[in-house]
Amino acid sequence: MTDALLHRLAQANPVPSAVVGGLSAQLRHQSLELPPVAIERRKRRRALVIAVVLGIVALIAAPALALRFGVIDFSNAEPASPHVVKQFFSLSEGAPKGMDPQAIPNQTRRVGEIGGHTLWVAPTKPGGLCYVWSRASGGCDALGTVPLSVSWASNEAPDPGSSRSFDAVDGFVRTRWANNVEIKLDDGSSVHPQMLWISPPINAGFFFYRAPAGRAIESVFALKDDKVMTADTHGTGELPGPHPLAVLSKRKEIARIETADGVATLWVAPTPTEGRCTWLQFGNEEIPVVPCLPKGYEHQAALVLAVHTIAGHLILAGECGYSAIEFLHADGSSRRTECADGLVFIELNPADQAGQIRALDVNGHPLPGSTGPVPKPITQP
Amino acid sequence: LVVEDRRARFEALYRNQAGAVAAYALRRTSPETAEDVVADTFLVAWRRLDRVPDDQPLPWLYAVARRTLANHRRSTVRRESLVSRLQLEFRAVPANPVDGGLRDALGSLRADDREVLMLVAWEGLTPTEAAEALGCSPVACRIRLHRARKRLACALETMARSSGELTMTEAK
Repeated sequence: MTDALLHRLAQANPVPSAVVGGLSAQLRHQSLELPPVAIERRKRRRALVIAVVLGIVALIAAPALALRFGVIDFSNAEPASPHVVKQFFSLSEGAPKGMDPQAIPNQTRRVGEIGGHTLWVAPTKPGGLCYVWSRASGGCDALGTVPLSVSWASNEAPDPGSSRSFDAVDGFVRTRWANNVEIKLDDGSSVHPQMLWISPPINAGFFFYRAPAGRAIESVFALKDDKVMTADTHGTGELPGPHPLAVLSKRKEIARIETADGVATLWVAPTPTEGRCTWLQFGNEEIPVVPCLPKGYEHQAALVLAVHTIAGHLILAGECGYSAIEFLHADGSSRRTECADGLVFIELNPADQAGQIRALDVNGHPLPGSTGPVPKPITQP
Repeated sequence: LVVEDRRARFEALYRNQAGAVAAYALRRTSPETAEDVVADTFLVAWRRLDRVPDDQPLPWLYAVARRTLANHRRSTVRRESLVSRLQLEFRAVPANPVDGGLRDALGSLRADDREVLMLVAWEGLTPTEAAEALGCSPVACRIRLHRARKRLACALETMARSSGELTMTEAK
């Protein structure tokens, strides 16, 4: 239908192509009065000097990666085939409210290959990225604030009851916070994987690494000028404590609950990559509450809650991407508590514990499907 | 010698492309304005000859002509003229009558939608070439073209429907 429409439009051309030849023949005989271009040349020379100076400044100030590695120009990379574009469209299909990665599928580019795996990348509307490796994984960082993303893979069949080892990883680091990646293996050796560094609007370096036969991967580190900025670990390489790499000198007390046996305090501290770690402290004990999250992700619509038993008190703490939560008691009464800065921290009474919990939106309306039982208490060691 | 080379290159450019640029302008404006547009477009080309692509200069020239036309609509001040005695030849161009419904539907579109359709249907550019003329990415141009086609079809349908309704009302 639309091709017929374009054809109809072409037929309605007020100056048909056949006339262009005649126009050209007429114009060919026009006398040309060409003005001098010396002024323009001076301007161009000045512009050239400015460009050279700016170029030198840019080179001096350029991050090390630009000098040490070739950066792939995303805008000039090969556009993805319609089949791949369709895959990127599907990333948003069925995504829950607030969880849509908002990829821009039509800007998907084929940016390169590592180890026979092709990498396609698309920007997202909020400034992040989505990526897919051929015959492997993919993912999204909708907001562009994830400093390091790692997908772990294994050729082994899962063996229930034993810890699984991984022999392949892929993922990306943000150039804002990292200019190198280091992978630590179970024999204590380290490798720097091959990287594909992509220019704006992607601003990320991608890796795909498979360990030698018989070796397992334990940790992946994002480095900036050889300093560890963040890490993702597995097995014995696990980073200790609820706030690895957080800047503890900048920690803030968010809330506290007084008990007969001491004070339970909720702390947050920034990470070196603008993220946030949250944990609970009781005496000398630090209890994980929410994993350290990249900037912006702390307000994602989600409820990740746990009930901690501390000195006989039941304390509900966790991530809350909603406006408030409400406890529904068995006798028909209810109690509401606000979520502040993506967090909830409250001492439960027996009626709360026996009842149900649900999330409320900014208008105080219950979120459909959010009602469920209050989590069972975790007994602290 | 460099100046002579420059002049020779420009004259070749003008000789080969002036007709297409003139047709582009005539499809969008009056013969008088089209003369100015062609003159100004080639004046820019002469001054920025090193930026004119050797292999496919037309999208670049159309981009300049488009901006020149937009500027001309904002200002009636006539600038330095590069080409003389164009007016008579332009007036001699036979006009192809456009079917009224299509002209109205096209006129109802936003300028950007109209331009991408005309670049493809009238200037015969590919979406990639049209993207260069419009100063956007090829992907963005394809999307714009797709939407413009749909909007044109929609406008034609609306006009046809309202025309039908009018006929029925008149019949009553």
